[in-house]
Amino acid sequence: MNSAEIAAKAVEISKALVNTSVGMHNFDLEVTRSIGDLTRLAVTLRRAGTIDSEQQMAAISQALKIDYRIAKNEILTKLDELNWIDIKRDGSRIQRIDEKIPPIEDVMSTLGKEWENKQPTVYDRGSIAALSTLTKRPYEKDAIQSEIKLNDEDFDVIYSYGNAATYLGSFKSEETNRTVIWTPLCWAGKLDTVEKFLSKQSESKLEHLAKLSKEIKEYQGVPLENVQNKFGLLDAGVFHGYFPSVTIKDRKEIDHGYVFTATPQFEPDPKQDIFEKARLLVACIRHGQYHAEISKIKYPRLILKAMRENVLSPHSYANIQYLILKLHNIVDIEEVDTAGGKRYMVRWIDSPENNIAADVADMMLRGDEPSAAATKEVEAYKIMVQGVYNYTAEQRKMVATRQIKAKGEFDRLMQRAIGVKG
Amino acid sequence: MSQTARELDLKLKLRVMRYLWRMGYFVRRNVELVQYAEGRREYEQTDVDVLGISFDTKFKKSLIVCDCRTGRTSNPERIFRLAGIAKYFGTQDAILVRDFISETKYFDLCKKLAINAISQDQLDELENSVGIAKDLFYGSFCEDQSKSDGLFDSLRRFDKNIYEYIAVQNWEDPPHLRILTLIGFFDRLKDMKGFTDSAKSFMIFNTLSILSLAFIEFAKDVLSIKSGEKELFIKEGLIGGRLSYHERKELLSTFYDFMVSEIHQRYSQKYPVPKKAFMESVIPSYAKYFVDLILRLCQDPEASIEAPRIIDLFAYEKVLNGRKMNLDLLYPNMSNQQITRILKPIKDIYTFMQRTDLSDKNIDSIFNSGIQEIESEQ
Repeated sequence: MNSAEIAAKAVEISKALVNTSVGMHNFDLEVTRSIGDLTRLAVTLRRAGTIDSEQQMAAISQALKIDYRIAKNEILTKLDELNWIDIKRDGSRIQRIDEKIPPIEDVMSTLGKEWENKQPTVYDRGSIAALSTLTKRPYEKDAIQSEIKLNDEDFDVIYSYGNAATYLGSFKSEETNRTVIWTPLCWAGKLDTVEKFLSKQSESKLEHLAKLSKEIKEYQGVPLENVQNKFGLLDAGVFHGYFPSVTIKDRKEIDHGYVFTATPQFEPDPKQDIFEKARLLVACIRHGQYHAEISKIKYPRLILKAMRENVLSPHSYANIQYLILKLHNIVDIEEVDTAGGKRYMVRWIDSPENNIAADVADMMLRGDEPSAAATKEVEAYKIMVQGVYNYTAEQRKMVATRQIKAKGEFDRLMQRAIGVKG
Repeated sequence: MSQTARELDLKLKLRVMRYLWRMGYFVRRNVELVQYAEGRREYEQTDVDVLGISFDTKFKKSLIVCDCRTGRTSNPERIFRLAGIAKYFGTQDAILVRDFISETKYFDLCKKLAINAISQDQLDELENSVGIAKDLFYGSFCEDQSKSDGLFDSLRRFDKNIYEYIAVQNWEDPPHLRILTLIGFFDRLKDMKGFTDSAKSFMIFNTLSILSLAFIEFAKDVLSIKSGEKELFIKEGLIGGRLSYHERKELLSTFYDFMVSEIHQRYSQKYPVPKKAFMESVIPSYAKYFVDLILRLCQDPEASIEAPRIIDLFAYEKVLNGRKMNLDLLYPNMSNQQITRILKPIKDIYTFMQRTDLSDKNIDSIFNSGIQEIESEQ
């Protein structure tokens, strides 16, 4: 695992641990969580220019669900040490923050190295390694334990935390009758069906699933018919939701499916998921590349660019091809009269969510792997773009925290309290 | 020309530079226009006594060229020459400065050629009108020009190519070429043997001030690009535009395929670098930092256009003349908030320098102490 991957996984774990109460996990996963929060804030602040007031900084922190006390005393201090921000203070209050955060790849690799430097606990290491390995495919418990080199006791602790925070899960394989560990992070809202699908797979099929995922990752939105369907895994994977797919119906009412790999989802409402919007965009463009009735798209990224700039020419097929985007408030479709007859004009809806989704879609079309860690978070981004941070009733609301425990946590807590080391 | 005449001319040039500086121009003296053949200097065509460069808040560049001579306007050829230089640089702003301009025929000729002719008295009035203190010379127009002239002479002997580019060629090249070329000079400037640290620092800050002019000019076209498209536009622009970018990509791709096939056939081995990684070398490795910098400069054009002159003050005032950085020289009545705003683009440019390994500990120390001096005055 390289440093950037470590930082990316730290972000996923820290996001999964949002709104959790005080507990031993704050110690056991302290390094991972602090690097995760640091990365999230750095990515959010990047290219913001200047944060004009402490109140704005607090609002951004609140939108990211990072305790402002931690943001002020720990995260901003670290960013200052890294020379990524300049903080202008008036006594203990922050007057202004000038950011000069480097490109994302530098942020990820620097903070990944920083994670190593902070002497992560065995639970930090195990959690990062487990999540990284399980993102590719599920593993039997013994196999993953051996892969990440953890003893039973330590593995039970990291599994307990992961399970409580829903980034780790388990099920019994119907094939082998053994416990299989997986990461449910990418399939919120479809946990049962995906788990059911995975429980029916043998080891060789799980391995093939990993290969399939790797192939699809390199070309997101690939038409279903263009992917090898060995063991019927692709169809079953799509049916059960393991591989997200988008279906576009053409004028002859024929369904065309475009398949993707799943991405971590933290929003409770799937419609708020930026990656879902990105997949819709990519699917519509792929439809134009492979299944357009009249002329096929040759340069998909240029089409996305033209869509964002509202310079797509009116087209007779646009109301079919982009209907799904209209239904998800990404574009409007307007009927226009042209010399050639009735056509349809696509109008981009310029909102922070749509713009972030389009950036992610562009990454997918480029063949890059879009990372939740490297993507700006919508609510925080809105505060910077729209300057909306009045203390509304919504923002003032205090959210009840989630309990999160590890196996034997109480015993460990008592041991620490009486001074038992190790 | 006699030594005394040269000295009197110099004083006039420095006054004109000072006045233009006060009007917001970045200024240079004795800029040569040279004919080159196969990279070698063939002959000097002419020179510009004073060249001024300024930017508006849309990063649009304006040039002004000046001819300065003590004595009367006795030679109409110089008026025609100045008009030709102005046309060469594509500017409508040209000033002819003489001790006295008494003959109306020269006024008429200047007017016809769109040249402003001013006498020393008129220059006095202009200086008074903007509150220029008569005895205050600083920066690139400080009275003692021997130090900087001596350093440029040494540079010419040490590395003729760098000298020719900084002193002559860079004023005519497009911004992307200036950026690529000037960035390549920093390592050589840091390694100049036989130069004191102070001399190297001066050269580096001088080069940085010229480089920052190129940054601002480059950023002009970026301002009007939609934000999601800026990054690619900047990267393509750095190597000469979209067409050039795609041509290079095509060339590299063909070269890669050929190389992989040859290595496989001749040595039965696999070339270890994946195509995607290989293709990334079509743009310089510092492109990602360059993108960041240009985007940041575009966030506040009004502040960014001041960067080249402030960096120029670092070179001449702090390094060469050993004086404390004092922005009152540029902005006599600016508030603390405005100064803070003006400093941000400088810091961004310097951050670019650090991330691209153009600076060293010595340069960092000079820069940091200069910024501290400015900020402690607030």
